[in-house]
Amino acid sequence: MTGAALPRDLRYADADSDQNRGLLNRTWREPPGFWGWLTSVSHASIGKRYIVTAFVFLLLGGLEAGMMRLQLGRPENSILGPDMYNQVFTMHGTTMMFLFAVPVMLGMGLYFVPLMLGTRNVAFPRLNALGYYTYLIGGCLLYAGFFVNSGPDAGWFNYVPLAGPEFSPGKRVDIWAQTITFTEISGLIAASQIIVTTFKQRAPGMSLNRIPLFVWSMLVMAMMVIFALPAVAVDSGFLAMDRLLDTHFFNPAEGGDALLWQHIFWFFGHPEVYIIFVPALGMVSTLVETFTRRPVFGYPVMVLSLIATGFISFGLWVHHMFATPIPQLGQSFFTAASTLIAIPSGVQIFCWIATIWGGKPRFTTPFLFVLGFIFLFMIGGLTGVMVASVPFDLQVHDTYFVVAHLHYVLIGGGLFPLFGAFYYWFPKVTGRLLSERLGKLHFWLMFIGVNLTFFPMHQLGLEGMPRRVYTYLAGMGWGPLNLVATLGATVTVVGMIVFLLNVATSLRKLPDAGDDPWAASTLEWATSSPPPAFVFENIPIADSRTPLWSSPQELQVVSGLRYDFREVLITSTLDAIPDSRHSEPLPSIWPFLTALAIGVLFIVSIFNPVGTLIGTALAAIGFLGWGLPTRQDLDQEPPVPETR
Amino acid sequence: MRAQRSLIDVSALPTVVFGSRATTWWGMMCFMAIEGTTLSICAASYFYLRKNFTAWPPEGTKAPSLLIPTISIVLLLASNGLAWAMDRAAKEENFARIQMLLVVSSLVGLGLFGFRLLEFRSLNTTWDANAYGSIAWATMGMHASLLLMDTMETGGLAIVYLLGRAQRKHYVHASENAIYWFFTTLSWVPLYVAIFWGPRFL
Repeated sequence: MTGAALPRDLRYADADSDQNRGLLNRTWREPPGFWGWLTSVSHASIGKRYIVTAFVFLLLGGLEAGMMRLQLGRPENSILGPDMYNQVFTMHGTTMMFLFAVPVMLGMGLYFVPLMLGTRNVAFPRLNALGYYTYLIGGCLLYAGFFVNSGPDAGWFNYVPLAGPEFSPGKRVDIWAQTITFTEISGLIAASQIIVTTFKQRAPGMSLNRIPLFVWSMLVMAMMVIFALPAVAVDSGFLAMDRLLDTHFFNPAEGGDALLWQHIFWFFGHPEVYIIFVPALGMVSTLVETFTRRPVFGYPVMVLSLIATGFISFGLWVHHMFATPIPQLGQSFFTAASTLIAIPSGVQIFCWIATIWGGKPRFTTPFLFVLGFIFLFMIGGLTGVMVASVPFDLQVHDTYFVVAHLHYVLIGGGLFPLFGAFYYWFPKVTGRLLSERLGKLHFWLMFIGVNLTFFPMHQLGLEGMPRRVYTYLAGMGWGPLNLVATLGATVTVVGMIVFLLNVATSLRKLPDAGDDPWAASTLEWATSSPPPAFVFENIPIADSRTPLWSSPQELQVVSGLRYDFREVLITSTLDAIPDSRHSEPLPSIWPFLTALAIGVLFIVSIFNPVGTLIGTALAAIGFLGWGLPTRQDLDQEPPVPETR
Repeated sequence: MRAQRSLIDVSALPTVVFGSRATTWWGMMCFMAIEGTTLSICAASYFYLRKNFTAWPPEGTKAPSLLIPTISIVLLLASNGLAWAMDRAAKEENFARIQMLLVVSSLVGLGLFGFRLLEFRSLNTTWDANAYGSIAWATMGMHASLLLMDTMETGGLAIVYLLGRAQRKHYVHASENAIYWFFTTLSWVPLYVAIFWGPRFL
């Protein structure tokens, strides 16, 4: 191999550090300009794009929520008509689930998993870029539809027959179905990155029982994505075919079945909730460890709970269908399974309490969000145990009680830990700390706002207010509590404005964070903030679960990786013993072009089945261009001798 | 910046490894898990829809013909011989043989895909006749798309070799391409049984 021809000092850590960093920088830096942006394959750059794009969708989804709260603030209001209201609540759900919650969690994983594992990039960098662009195209498609009055309007779960060809003519539901396909492709790609990077690119010494809990949670989440997302891709594919090709999957007149839609959808849809929640658990464990200054209590139990949560979440889907004709044995089974999942969640909460109890908690903004999470998630969990019971569920099914429950779970269990993690890792990504004062204000406004918005909805649900109605009569007596909820939403909006202000002012100041502002334990804090393009000058070695605490003075590292081309260290799956050196691909425009081809495939096929053929042919060209080594590739690694 | 102390030297480690030592092998496993789940959900839907009919196939529909699909599956399984040879040639880093096998496998794959298109006629129903026809066509179509995708991948790899741009890492890709072909062909067996023999027993 060409490696043998290199002077030795290029390959050794004890050589001149400045020279090494210069070489590494030349090797790993991103090409400049807009073209460079389109060709980037860096996990940090792609991860950041996922996070920023997802936050934009959070704001859009939040605006939609605000529109609904304005409309429902008083009885017989007329800000939104029934058709617009249907589009807005469908857009809100679709945006929050598919365009915000899952992509933002995946983005956090793509950015931080390689850093925490001590590697330079994810396993398949070009595929990673493709994943981001398909996500972006999917999101743009959905909003393009909405802005031309073709926003989907049959709810984020698009139950048939309402979403079928008979009751939803036009292109609205087709746009939804294809948006879903785009986000599924991107989710599956990102999940594969996280799995393979975690299995094969860990720092030497980081055996499975030393992986940071955040990475464990991302690994479990990625596994769930792999087995859950194909279900919704098949389901939305069936729906699109029913609508565009006259198939009869969901048409009872020709032997189809409306409940088949629900079964497949919720086989995806229930794990989806945990796909959002499991990474949040990892974030909470990370924050609890750092801000109590002690390793998390019960690491093996925490890992087993995460895995158990992942498994059990696939056995719960029918509890979304208790109001359909399900055999009683089925109802009992799914009630039992739904209450069962409270056990691993409960175990983790007790482990965190034990950690906080035995540590010295620092009540920083990220830690406040953790405490907010525990409070909100406990309320959401308790109502979850309530609706797991069939008789109770039948009473509150499709009422605001369920709206309250799901928002406590998703905001408490997803958004609060995410904000905590955002405050925690913002200095690593930007080199700048967020203001603690504004952060605490943000937390309290959000905490009060969310409770004020959603707690009254429990009562509204018990009083019988149904979901997905655009207005209600004054005589129902739901006005006052709805007004409280709308006021709560206003407080939440103010909280979000404070958050945006905090980010904007922080980005304008000089870097003040340093490498490790929180004195944390995991490897991402061993490199500078923001990390250089090559991430680590030399690949670190993990000698414990908390490597930066166990050897605070020095960093034990690996030498011998090439500096002059993109090389990562591959280690064994179980014990992370160094096994091989793997060269990573250079930046390329082809992932972007291939994403455009996939865009043609799914968007044109809404209007004409020929789009499938054109798109497939274009994608084949895209993949060929992608896979064909360029001159530059061949300069780095020449073709095998036989070809000369 | 912490002081750095080098404890391990990895400069002697290999740069090309096969099987579960390679990242791409794990990526392929993820892809198989995704596609396996997709096919399983199609199969589950097939059996789920059965309960809506008194007869399977529905009255007035002929049971699927067996001749062409059976020839097709025998050919499909036989093509694994090529894949097996390719995996071996890849691990031996035998350039000429891999190049030849890639070209042959691409053509065979195209042929098998063409044969698959004929097979749709053996279903003796159309996708828009009823739910039975829809799910039989969709399940078979889903698998046909995998067949096409794998053939396109083999063809792409063949082009890389023919243009003289193959690097050592492409040996690993050839080996993994072969393993993926095993998955594509073997995953058809249960689906073939369900779609073509199922209507005779369900």
